Amino acid sequence: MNEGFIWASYLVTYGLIIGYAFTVWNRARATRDRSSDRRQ
Amino acid sequence: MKRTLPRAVLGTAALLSLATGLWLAFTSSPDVFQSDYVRIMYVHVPGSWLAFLAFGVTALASAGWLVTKRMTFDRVAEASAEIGVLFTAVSLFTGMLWGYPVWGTFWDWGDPRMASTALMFFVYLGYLALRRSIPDPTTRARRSAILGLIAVVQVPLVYFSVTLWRSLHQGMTVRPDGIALDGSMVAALLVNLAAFSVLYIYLMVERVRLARLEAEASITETELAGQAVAKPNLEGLS
Repeated sequence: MNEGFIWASYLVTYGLIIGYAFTVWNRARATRDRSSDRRQ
Repeated sequence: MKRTLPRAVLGTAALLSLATGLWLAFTSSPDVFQSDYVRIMYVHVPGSWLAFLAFGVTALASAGWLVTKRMTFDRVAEASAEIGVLFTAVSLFTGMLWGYPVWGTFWDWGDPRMASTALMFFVYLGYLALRRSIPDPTTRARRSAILGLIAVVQVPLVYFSVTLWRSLHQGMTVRPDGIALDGSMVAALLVNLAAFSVLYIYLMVERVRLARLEAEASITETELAGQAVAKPNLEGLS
């Protein structure tokens, strides 16, 4: 049995989830910062 | 503070339930035929479930926009489609990584479940591309709502493909008459299904919030551009 397939499945799954969540958080922060800069 | 607390609670709930799911996935019994490869199922099945749920929500929100013309529905449709594409990718990748050791092949275009899932993935990628190609919010919402309603036909097609056609893919694990598993495997699968569902709600809340922030920023930018055009600074030119 090759355990690499099992680990790769979990790495791909959680890598995609964490990557997506970070992208959304960063975009939200950047948009908020840009908006507050414009208001000043 | 009032607005961030429910999001923080939801995020913590998602994190804790995913951690429980991971623990169960790696401590449950191995399968008689698939041995430890069955552990891939605990991310593959929830990934597929979320893809179906997300595209269903996209269709409902699309219908909601067409009826009410409220932009909140459009934002929900966009967020859900994006998350659906993410989890279809999870389903496809984990399915391939399961397929090679268990079936002897990463991919088979002749298999209806694999082919229909890949088609669904590309159609919803097209949905997201369509959204990015239309700058006007109302036109974008209308056209993507129509596509969102048409594209959802694929969800039952993918789900029932294993019973409608001859398939390499195994039959449905979760059926109306019960779950075709036993013991600790059922617990691991159900907890992971619940954990991924909580994660979906959390990601939806965050992504819809982002869409609202971007829409507000876009309005501010348009207003600022309008002011610049309406009130040019002509001092010193006369």
